[in-house]
Amino acid sequence: MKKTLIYFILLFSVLFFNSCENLFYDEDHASKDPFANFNYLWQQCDTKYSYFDLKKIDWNKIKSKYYSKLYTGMSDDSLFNVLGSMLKELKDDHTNLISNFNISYFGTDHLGQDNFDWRIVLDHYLHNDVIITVPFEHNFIDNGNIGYIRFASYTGEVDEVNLDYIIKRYSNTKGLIIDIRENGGGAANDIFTILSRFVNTQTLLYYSRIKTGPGHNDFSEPQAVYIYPDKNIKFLKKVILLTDRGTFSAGSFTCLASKALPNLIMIGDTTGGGLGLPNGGQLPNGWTYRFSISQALDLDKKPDFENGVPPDIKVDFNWNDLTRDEILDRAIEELNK
Amino acid sequence: MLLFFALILLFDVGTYSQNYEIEKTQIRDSTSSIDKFPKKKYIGASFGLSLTNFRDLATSPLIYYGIAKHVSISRMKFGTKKECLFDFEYYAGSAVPAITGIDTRSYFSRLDIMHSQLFKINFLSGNKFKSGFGYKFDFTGMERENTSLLNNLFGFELIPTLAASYKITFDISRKEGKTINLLFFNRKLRPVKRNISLRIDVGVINSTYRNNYIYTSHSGVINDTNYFRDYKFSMFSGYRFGSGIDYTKYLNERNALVFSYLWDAFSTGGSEEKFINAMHIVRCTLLFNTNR
Repeated sequence: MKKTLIYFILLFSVLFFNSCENLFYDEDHASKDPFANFNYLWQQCDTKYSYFDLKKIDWNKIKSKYYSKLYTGMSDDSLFNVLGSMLKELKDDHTNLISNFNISYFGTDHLGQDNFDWRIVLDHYLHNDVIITVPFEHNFIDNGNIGYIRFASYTGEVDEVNLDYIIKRYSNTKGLIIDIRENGGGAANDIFTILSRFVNTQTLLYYSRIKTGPGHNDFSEPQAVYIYPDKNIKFLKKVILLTDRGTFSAGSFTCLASKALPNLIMIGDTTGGGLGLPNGGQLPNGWTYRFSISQALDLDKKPDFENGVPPDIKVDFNWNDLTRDEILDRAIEELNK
Repeated sequence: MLLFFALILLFDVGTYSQNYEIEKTQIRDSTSSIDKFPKKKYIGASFGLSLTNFRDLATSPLIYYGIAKHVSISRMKFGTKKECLFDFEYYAGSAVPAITGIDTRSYFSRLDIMHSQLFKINFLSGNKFKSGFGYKFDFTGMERENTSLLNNLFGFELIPTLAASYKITFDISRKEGKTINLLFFNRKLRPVKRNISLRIDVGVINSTYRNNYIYTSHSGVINDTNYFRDYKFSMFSGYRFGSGIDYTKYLNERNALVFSYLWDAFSTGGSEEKFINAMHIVRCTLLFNTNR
């Protein structure tokens, strides 16, 4: 009897303390209610998105506009359209809503014309002879005077082995052309691995600041971002970056950095932006989202290049002549000066 | 922050070592003083399962539920006046939210380094039961990976806690053998030494080391390899509770088997960035006596 009492007291004590778990969780926020999900997403953006002022976005007005489209019992598809459309108002391709049936996006590459066709470069400049040094595709052009490097994506695979090979190969040319058109970005560390081969001294590239509070202007102090010269072989002659509206995120960061490096020149079209670091989060219904939570600032500490880093030389593609790449031609001309 | 951790660890190791050194000296000097110091020393090896749930409001409003495998190794000293414990615990598993129609999973692992000392409370102890009061220092590190959360896929926090502990142990040994007469057969039960205990831990100093307001690491775009540059240490942040039941059965004069049900839950401070974790652990521990 005594033992039974002891067991009962002990079991009751454990159950009692375990029920205290409810104190920790207050309530479960999981919900498929359209209003709950809308309010959650709007609130998260309101307190954490970093470019309201630059893009002159009245987020309260947008709330009113899209809240009126909600109704109880709406389908997932309809709710996705409302929330996705609301996020598109941020005009930022680092802003997406992701469900298991759709992904919303803005499409900054459609703010300008299409300026790249790899087939034209392959057929008429490289003559279908390409060396693949992952993640680069490259070879000599212009009768061996120039090194052309196609860099399609920041995969995180740029390392000293592949860069040593490329720079050694083209060390006696007049210059390099790095083609980052339609490069949607990726691993940020590739930016600094590449740029470290183009400088001889520590160089200030840009500034960056991150959201530190819920106010639209609650940011950290601007953090100076430096590049340090690599200890391996470097290329200190002219380097031309070919860009277009599809040059986004890490590609835009590279272009922003190029403004601080006198031997780097941008030719082509304004980039697509994407200079805000995207976060990641989840809604009460389980869908995920991301949006920009930091700002990259130029050397004057201005955030304006989020709207696109402009080229030093503006050139557009002529789609009436599919044997020439006018942007690449202009870069060749620049290196032959 | 590092100095704080170093001081705590030095205190723990120093106290533990001091106990051992004093014991060695005193046992040689006087048999009457043996009662003051640990008599039985054990190494414990545990394995079990943990029902885990957590919610990280910095990235998601959803509670994730899962099961983790659990192993631990411990060093214990039991005396008539004092009880000491040093424990390394490891958990690893995965968890999903309780909501349908989405495909998301968080993989997590957790390491706990614990040191505890309990001192006998004479006026709350008797022939068949013993109460002890003391402290428990629990250094918890937890990491999670959930690719659905994109740039916030990696979550990491350190939760060092200094807790006040209370434990009551009941002696439920069978002193004499007895025979149970069942319908078709008889079972003779031998004398067995066993006890059952309940332990409660209440966090007094609840510290956290966790990422800042925006949670996402900034280091990638500022050419900085220090991923934890924006992490913040808070000495007093949040709260933590724990409880547990242990049923110990001594197998012979030396070793023992312990079946345990443990519960541990903590919450960090803040509102938007609050992280909550609770674990229900069922485990079996083999205690190997190391007295010479």
